[in-house]
Amino acid sequence: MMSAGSAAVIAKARAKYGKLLGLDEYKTLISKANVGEIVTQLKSYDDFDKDFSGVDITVRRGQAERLLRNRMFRVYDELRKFCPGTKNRFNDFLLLQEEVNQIINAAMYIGAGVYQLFIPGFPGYLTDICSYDILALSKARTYSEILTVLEDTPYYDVLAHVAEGTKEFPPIITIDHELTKYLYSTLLDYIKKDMSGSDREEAEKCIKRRCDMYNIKICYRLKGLFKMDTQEVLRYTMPIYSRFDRNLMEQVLSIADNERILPQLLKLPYFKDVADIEGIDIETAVYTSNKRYYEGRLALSQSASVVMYSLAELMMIENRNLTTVIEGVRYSLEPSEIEKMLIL
Amino acid sequence: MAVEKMSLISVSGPLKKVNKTLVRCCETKCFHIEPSFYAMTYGSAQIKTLKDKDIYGGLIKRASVIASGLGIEAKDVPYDDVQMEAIHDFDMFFSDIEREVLPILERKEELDRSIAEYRQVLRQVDNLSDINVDFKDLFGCKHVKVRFGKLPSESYTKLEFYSDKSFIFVPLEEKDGYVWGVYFCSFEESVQVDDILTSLDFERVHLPDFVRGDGEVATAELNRCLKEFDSSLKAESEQLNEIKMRIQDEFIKVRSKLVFLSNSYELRSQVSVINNKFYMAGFVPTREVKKFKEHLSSVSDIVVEEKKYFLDDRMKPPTKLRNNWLFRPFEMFVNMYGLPSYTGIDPTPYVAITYMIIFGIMFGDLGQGLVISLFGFILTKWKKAKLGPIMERIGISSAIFGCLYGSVFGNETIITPFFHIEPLYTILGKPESIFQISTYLLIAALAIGVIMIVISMSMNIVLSFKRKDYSSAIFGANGITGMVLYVSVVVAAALQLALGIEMFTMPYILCLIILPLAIMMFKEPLSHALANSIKHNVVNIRHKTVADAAIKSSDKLDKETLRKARLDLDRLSDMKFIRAVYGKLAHEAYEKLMNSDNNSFVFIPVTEDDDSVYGVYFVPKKSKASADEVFAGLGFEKMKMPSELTKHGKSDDNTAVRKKEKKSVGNFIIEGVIELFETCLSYLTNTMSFLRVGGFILSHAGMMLVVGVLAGDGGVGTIIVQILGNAFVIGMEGFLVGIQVLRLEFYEIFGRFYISDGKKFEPLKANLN
Repeated sequence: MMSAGSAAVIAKARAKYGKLLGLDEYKTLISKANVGEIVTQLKSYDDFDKDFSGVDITVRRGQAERLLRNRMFRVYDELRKFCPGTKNRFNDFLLLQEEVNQIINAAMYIGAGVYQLFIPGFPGYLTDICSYDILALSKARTYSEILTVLEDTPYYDVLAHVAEGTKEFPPIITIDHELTKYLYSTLLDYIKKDMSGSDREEAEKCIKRRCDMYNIKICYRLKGLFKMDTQEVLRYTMPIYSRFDRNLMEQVLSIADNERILPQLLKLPYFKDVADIEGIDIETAVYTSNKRYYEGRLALSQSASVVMYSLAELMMIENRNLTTVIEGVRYSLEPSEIEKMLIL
Repeated sequence: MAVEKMSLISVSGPLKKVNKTLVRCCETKCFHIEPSFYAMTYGSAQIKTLKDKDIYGGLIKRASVIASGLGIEAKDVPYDDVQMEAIHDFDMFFSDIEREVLPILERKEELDRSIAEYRQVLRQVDNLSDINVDFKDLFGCKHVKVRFGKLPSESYTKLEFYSDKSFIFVPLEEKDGYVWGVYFCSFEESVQVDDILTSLDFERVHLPDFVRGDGEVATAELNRCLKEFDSSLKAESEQLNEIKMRIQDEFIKVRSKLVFLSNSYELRSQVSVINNKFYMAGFVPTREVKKFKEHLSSVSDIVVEEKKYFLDDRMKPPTKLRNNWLFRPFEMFVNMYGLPSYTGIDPTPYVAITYMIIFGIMFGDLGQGLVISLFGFILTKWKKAKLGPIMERIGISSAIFGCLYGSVFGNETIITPFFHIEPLYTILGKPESIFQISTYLLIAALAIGVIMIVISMSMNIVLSFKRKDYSSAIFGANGITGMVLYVSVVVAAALQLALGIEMFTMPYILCLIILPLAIMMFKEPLSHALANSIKHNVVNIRHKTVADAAIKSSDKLDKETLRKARLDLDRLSDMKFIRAVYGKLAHEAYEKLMNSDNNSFVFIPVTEDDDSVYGVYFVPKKSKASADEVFAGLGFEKMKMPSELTKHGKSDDNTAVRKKEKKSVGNFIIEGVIELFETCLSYLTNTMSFLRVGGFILSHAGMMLVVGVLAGDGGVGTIIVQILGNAFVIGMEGFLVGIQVLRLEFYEIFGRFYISDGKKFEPLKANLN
């Protein structure tokens, strides 16, 4: 039986979902002349004013996008604190994801020699809750300095072997792959240890689905854009599968040697309902499929963790839509063009 | 109990007349459009809908600019005296106003902008009041760059990472998640430092050149400028106000008309277009068809056709309730529960009568009833509240029952109550107060419940027969069997308890209780048997073909034509693959067809209206092309075959489905027993539910007794307590009784006979908001 606390989290998350923006709101935003006007309009929507109250019409695009990210984390954090059973470490999924993202960002900037770009970019809300010293990370200038900052964390073991036998900065794709693998396997491990019954099953499905989507995007990018060979692509995929398993992956990749990979990927069952949309790209297909799936989970699941996770996924999609609107308006795209790019 | 009669209306004409037609349709306020009709008839591939841009959009935008500039409230007003029709007229009207208003608005906007800017600067200067340096000198520094602005608090904490860079940030104030401050850097590194601060979302505030002197001097100068701007702004606003007063009334009317035209333009999306002609179909109340046609006659070149509502079974006519003044307000409750279908029954009068009576019984007080009526009257007059007229009526009912109970604002000494009148007084054992007859009241409440349940069951029986739902009418819990069982048990129990007559004898139990229960338990197989027997009869009458169904349903055939049609059909039946095509022909064309000696087809007329004859033509497949040509030449319009001509096939499908759904004996018995138990329990609980009627009579008397005791005897206090107590009872108990009666209506009464599967009649209208 569901506890009162879980029911409350579910109700709260569903109420938050009700406040997510719909087509009418997006249309209003698209009609605005500049980013400042968009932000002023956003302030009039429920739940946005908390994060946007301080900014005015002079706000810049990057800042607006950072505020959107802050908002997502704030909503998640409110729900997480409200969540019963603090023993369930799966509820820390967004925090874990943010930690991993910041390490990847730091490595990317440091590797590219533009380490100073990391400081403005990292979210301030992580400073107090991050499992490593993010301020120290921003001072790192080499790979070994990154490892030093991460020394007492599980991330050290993940990253230490990446640079073994070489003094050069390891490729960012390898760092990304290792950390993402660690993220998903850790979440699955938490699910296994801290959850049970249908809650566990549902949460596992969500993470495995995410791995599938990651693999789909990797296959598309590495095979379709970078023309890597099948074995090399497979090396960068997640060893965690759901419906897009290794055999299917190999099959799709081998066909892609002769044909375009996008139509092959769109034949996957995940994209049954979206593949017919004219001119769809893999990102849009993944997000659209996710949106439909997580809307269903959010409405039907009785697990507080899964509902919370679904809300986070949907908010990520909302953030993506808002970024699309902001960029579209910024670059004076036709409203109908911007609307086409939205995930609805 | 009436549902407004509807006629199916189709309107067609040249595409260029579509706007005018739509406007006229909106004006009639009686046309319920069916947007998908032509898509169903011709298939969505052949029809187009109009989705072009609203031509009035630009004008409305201009009107909005003027309205917001002048502060005119946008509202919906009658505009009959506005003669403008063409876009050009509106354009001229707005241009005249714009010439006068826009320059003032521009100046005002400029002033507003300046005021906002100066205020912002003033705020900055206030923040910088601690700097005792002339701003001119500060900005005039040759080797140091100075920037004022705000930095997100989050970014402010990151500044420590730039300790190696040569700049100083001086925080002045922290507000709304931002740190206001000023930073100084060397001229050489200013580009790099600006980049860093920009990446941290520093928002620079430019202090204008006019800011001179130190903080204090600059503040005084800024305040002086602001005062000047304010007085200029006031002058401009007065000018705008004068224009507003002059044009306001006419502007609102013109704008209303424009919005109406624009919104009727939007309705174009509900019209079908085929080959440069527009078509629309919908329903109009039959008694308003004449008025509708007359109103549309002002649009030339359009054709308005009236047909009977049932001619196309794909179109479900909407429901519009029609009741007299007494019952009309109670339509609100029927709407709340769900409207009946067009061919269904309108329960409003039944609801109205029972609601008024039960409310009166439960809340009987002459004074309080009249107060409720008065409130209802006030609500109706002032607020146009839908509940107002209902309150007026139930208040009067309450007052009438108050006279019976002898209660005036809880005082039972002014009027003699019914139980003090002989011979009732002696029969009831000379009761002093209503509480002494509480048992009788509760029994009476149960009796009311039994009567209402039996009436509801009777209505269900009649309606089920009307719907040809014989299973529900005969074997259902609210059908004849259920009623026999319910009445038998109630009558027997009443006679035994009241008069001591032993009614539950073996034959009585077997015939009137066990047998109905058994029938209800075996309802399903009995229903199937009944359905098969009826179907057998139908098959015998209709045979198996559409042809015979057409002959059967035709009201056009005299004996001779009928005989000929049968002979012709027999002849055609010898040939395989006959095609049947349903549609309509103009009367003249039908006459021509009758005089034709073409033997390759048979036409059977089914029904007719003023303009056309509807029927089916049958033709062997090999002659179809030539027959189609003949009919096309006669202007035959093909339509979808009505269901009554094709029902035979559908019932076979249902039989096939039913065969698949056969249950095991065990399942059948378990389900049957549970259903029976539930039915018996519902009879009991539904009857008991009416006890609340008696309960509320006593509760009302009890509450007023408490008010009386609290009020005491005489004095100002008594009057105050009486007023407050009565107000409380009217407010709280009146509200509760209203809800309880509605609950009885919806659950104990409606649930027994009423099916709410209708759709609301919604006349086409252009939204003025």
